[in-house]
Amino acid sequence: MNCEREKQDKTILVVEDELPLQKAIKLKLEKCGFLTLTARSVEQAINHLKDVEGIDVVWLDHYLLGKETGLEFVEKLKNNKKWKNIPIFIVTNTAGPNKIKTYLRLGVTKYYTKSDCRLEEVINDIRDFLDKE
Amino acid sequence: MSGRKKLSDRNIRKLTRSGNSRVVSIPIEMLADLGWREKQKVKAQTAEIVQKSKDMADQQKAVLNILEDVEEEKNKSELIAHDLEKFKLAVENASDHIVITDPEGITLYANKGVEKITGFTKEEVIGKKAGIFNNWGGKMEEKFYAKMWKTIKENKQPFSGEVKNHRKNGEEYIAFASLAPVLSKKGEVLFFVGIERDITKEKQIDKAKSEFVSLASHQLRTPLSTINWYVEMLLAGDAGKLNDEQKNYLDEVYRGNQRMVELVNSLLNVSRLELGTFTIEPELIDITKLADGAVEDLAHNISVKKQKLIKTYDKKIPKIKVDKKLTRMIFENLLSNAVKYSPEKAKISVKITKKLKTVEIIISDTGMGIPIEQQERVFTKLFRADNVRETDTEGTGLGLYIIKQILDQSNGKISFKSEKNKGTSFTINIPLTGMVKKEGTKKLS
Repeated sequence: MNCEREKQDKTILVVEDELPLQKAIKLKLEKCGFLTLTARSVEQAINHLKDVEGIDVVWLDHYLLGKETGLEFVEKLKNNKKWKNIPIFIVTNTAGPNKIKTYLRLGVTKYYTKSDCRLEEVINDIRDFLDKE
Repeated sequence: MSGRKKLSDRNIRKLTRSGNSRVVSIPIEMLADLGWREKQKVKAQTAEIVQKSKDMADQQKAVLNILEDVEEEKNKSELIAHDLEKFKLAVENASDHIVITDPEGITLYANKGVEKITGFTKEEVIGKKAGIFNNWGGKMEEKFYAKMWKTIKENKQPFSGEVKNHRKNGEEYIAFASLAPVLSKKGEVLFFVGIERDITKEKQIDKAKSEFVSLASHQLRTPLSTINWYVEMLLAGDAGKLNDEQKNYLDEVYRGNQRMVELVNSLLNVSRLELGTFTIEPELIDITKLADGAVEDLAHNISVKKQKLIKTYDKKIPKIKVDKKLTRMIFENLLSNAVKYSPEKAKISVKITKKLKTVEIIISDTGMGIPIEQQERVFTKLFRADNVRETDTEGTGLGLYIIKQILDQSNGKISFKSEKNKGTSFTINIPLTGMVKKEGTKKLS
């Protein structure tokens, strides 16, 4: 996949606490023409949402810095009129099926196991999703 | 003898008592007669005495024999009593919990182990039904106890299994129980013997071990993801164009990392299976489609080895309720083994048929087979057969263990036939009623 040719003009908020992974996601997304914002905790992520208008997609891990997990973050988004329609892609190594069920029930778009998926796979899905909208 | 004074004993005594032999005049023939008669009498009496003495000797011998026997019997019974005492002491002081009950399960005997393990005194359990909620039992599902009683009472067979019990203070513990009926010569139950061993500690250690594996594996996934994603970007040329050599090296890194990811996934699956935290989510599925999917995934490997894959599916295989992911895992595992452990141009076959109560899946190959002396270990964790280890270094020895566990825990069955250098054939049966749903906390990955 050669992403460079396809300018996306879309903004993705990457919420991932592990810095090397966060950096890889950001690099790949930017290669593929997305604008990115990064956060390592729910608090940082919420601040970005408050500060930046027009975040198109959230890329989210389950365990984050601080006490709150991705689950609490999703609840906050879904309970907010402005943010509740932002598509959320969960990319994590740790969520069990009960958590996945809860995420899906809360209305996230898709779920991935980090160590089993390629960055391209998630990005392609995000792009397909945005194209459909 | 007329005219002759009859020589009676009395007359003779009279004659001799007078003390004067002189006055006694006994005719010669009388004396001769007397001599003869006396001789006869003495002879008879002697014989009698000899006989009596012999009898007495015999009797004495008999008495001695009896005494000897009695002594022997006494020794024997002392020994038996001693042995019995020994057995009694052994049973009484054994560290396991041992009870003897009547055919209705009423406790007749309980050893010290019962008091130690359950906390109930002998007085509290003797005369009461063994292992009910009022003493140490009643913590398992009704089904478990029904099966247990059926086995020992109706089928008159021994029963063993892990059982959750509780102590007098309410604390739960896990025991390994072995119950056996003791039968009369006619085959009637005389009593039951129940032996239980507290295995709570062993279970806790096992759990800690599995939890450790689970934690370690989760922690391993993060650095593995890092390697995966950066190598993915390098290979995609995101950091500049690579020459062929660089690409080759990175391909190796990527493949190595994929193997590690798979190993970690397998270890996580094992720990979930052993902790009982994995889920089985049956849904109505056409399993021939799952088989096709697994075959498709292996198409590349099959064509590289120029192997021939033969699919034989019954026309009317009904949809059954199975967990999609687990069933797919079973197919993938058996098929990839068949491909891996069969030579070039080998035949691999997948046969799916509807049986009376099950759907039967047979996956066979014409590969290296499993050495007969190692066949019984095929489903044990981390086992790899010698011939396989010599030719392939990649396997983890977890695949067959995992699928056996899945099938065991979902009411399925798996068996195999194998001959070295001829091939192996695995047979799986999944009930038409489907896999049993299991609410865990983790999915297998």
